[in-house]
Amino acid sequence: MNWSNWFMRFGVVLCIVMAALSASKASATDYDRSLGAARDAQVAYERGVQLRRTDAAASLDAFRESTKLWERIRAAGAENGPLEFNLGNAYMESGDIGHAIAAYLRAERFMPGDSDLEHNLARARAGVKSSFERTGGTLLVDSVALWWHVVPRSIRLTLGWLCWLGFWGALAAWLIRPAIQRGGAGAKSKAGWRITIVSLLCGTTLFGGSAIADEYIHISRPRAVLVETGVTLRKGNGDGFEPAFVETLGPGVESTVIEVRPDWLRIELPDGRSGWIRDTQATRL
Amino acid sequence: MRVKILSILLCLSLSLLRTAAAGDAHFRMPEGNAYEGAPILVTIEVTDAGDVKPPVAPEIAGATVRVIERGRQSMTELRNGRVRNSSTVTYAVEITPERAGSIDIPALSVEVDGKEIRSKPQRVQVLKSDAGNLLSAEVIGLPAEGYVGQPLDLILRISVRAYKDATYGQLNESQMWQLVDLQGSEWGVFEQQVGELRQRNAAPRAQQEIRNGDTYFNYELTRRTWPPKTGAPEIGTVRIRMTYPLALREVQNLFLDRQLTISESRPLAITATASGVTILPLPEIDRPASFSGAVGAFAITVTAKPTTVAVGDPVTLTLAITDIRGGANLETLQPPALAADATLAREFRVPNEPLSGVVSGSTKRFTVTVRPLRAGTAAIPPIEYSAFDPQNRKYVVSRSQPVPITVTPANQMDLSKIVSGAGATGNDASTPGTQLTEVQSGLVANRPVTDALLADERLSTGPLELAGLFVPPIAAAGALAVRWHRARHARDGGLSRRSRARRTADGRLRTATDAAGLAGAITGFVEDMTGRPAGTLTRGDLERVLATAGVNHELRTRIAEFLGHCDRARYAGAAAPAELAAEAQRAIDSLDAARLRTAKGDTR
Repeated sequence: MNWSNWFMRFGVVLCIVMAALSASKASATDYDRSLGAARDAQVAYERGVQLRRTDAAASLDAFRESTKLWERIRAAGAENGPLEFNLGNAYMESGDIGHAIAAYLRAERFMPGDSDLEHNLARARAGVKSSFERTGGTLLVDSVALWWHVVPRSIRLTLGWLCWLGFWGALAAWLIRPAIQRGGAGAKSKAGWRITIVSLLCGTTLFGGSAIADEYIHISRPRAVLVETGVTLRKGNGDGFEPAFVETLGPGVESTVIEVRPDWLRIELPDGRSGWIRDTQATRL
Repeated sequence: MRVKILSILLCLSLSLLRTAAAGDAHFRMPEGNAYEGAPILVTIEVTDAGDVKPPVAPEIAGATVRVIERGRQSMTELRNGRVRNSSTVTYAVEITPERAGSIDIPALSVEVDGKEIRSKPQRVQVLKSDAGNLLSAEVIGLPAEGYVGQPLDLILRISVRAYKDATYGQLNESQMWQLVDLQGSEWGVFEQQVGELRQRNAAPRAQQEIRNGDTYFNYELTRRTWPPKTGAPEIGTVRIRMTYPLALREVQNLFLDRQLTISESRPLAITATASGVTILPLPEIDRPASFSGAVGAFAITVTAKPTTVAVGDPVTLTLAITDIRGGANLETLQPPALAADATLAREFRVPNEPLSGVVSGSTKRFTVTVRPLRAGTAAIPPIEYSAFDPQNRKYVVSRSQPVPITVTPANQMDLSKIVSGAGATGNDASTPGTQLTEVQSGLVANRPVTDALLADERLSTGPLELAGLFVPPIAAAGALAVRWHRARHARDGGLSRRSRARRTADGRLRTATDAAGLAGAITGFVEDMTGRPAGTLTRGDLERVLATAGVNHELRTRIAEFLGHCDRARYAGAAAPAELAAEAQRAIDSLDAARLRTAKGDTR
């Protein structure tokens, strides 16, 4: 059996499969996934800004149109920081503070530490009538969260993939090394290989692991933002249950979804108190 | 019909005639002697008057006078077919002698239907009052001496001597309280307390006291105040009136129940003063600059939210002033004078507007929004709250703990890079640059429209990602296999030859054209498998080699016979018959299946 030929054939087949998959993914070129839609959304937003001081109603309509277009782009499969940022802006200008905060928080996952995003998110949060002291959390989790939020997720993912591929590539090269440099590898070369392989393994764990952990937290403890006014938190998943609190909550209140039942969500407020709301009263991140 | 009409007209005319009749007034003058401080009444009853002007209170030396309208009554009476309308207006002139001696009540006058009707003047002897023995009242303070703003409990103590009847015994405290004229008395600052008692139809707390052999009931009403002025506390007019019984009798009511009623009584009136209570001014000495009028013992705590802000961002301070001892009037408690706090004002912009607080239990919370003026401010400085402690008679200053905060530059703007219009160099840290105040409102503009807006950066697990995840380990495993394969070959030099032995033998069989070629394929296969040099194995050696390699006797015999056939065919010069080729193939299959052992005992 000729191993070189076998590898070459396998590589060619793999490349063909990957190219085909890439081509099929890039073939979705309808309006909602085109730059034309994004330009139209941007034009509507800028029109809203221009009309803000002269025609408030028309300005609001323009912002809402922009919101719809950004949402269509998002529904077509696009999801990234800039898109969520622009969507959040459009929602903010439309007066929908709950959806605006939700979009900014989604954007934050893609581009943490972005000063513009932090500014706009702070402005949105300033408009939320209810505020809660954050409780819980640990120093370790917070520290790790702070660390991995410094590097955008796309960069962490890219670095994680590179380290992963590099690790296995280096391992494979090291394994077949005797055939390449038989007799020329000294102790120095051996140490170099080991350092390279271990470093790549650490990089994989660090960057890929943080991205996976980020995703795991996002899935295991999904967040939600209230989008309606006068939301009553109830003690159970039904309108027949007594309100959990006398006061109602307004849009923009951030929470964590801790239980899901048909049409109802049990949310935990930042201060640790919880209650049930209808799933239409919040948007899940 | 005519008769009926005439009757009605007659009745109406009679009624009008009666109504048009002139009104009259009757005076009922007091009888007997009066007592000092006890009011006496002159009752004026005006009947059937169309127009009445109330009497004017006369000036009487040694007495206070006031006129009270007691009530109005009207009545229509039909008797023997005659209608009679009557009306009555009753006035009372209350005369309260101020000292013993005598008073002259002048002629009192009332104007009825334009006609002045006068009473006769009367002299009344005023005896020294013994009301103090029967009824007394005073307002005492707890403490008796306090400071302006200090909580002061004013206690109205009403002392009534219990009436004891020779036949019916002594009235209890509830019965005695019922004789106090709650409506006709003036209660000053205790009006609310009395109102509540009237609403509940209850008597105040009373204590029984024996004084000179007589029983007294001491009723107490308490009102907490925080005197705003020095001197005696303002209690308003507290004048208590009661009907004191002199004799009792037993009567039957509608339900034939027997009950006691007062058959004879005398009015009593007494005025209470708070002469024993003194309110002192707050001392001027050692009064702190931050003093805002609080009297008592207070603690201040400050919380800030958020604690990480940019320059100019709002920081909400919640100032909680807690009354440690209790009793302070938190409703009127003033907040700390933040604008006058130089330490705070140096680091923060503090509003000058008055703060409104919310009282919760013994704590009053004030909320104020301050804005940091410069980056690097590390804490909300301690905020001072001073109060006068009446217990220790000195001013006490309490301070909050500093609240750590982080103030970052506004919008990450590097002020050192601001270039002033006057040509100042921005690098000169000593030169003050133009101060720019960032506007916090408004949003930062949208991101530009690029392909990045269409990207899907979600963590997906599509075929590409799965391939990227699993192919590299598989490739590495393949590399490991290659490495193992090569290492094995390196350790065993004949391994490659043994591995290729079957393919080589099959090739030789396919290309063999004669019996020698077929025999060569067999011997070659055995040479390859046993690691012997090519072409060195003779027919004679083959039997021994195969035996050594563990081939059974039957197969060895078959191989030997086959090679014998091949020799014979070779010497005969004939081409290899098909049967020989098939037998050669079967022999190689059998040898391959027999897994020949090498000289070292290895198997393929």
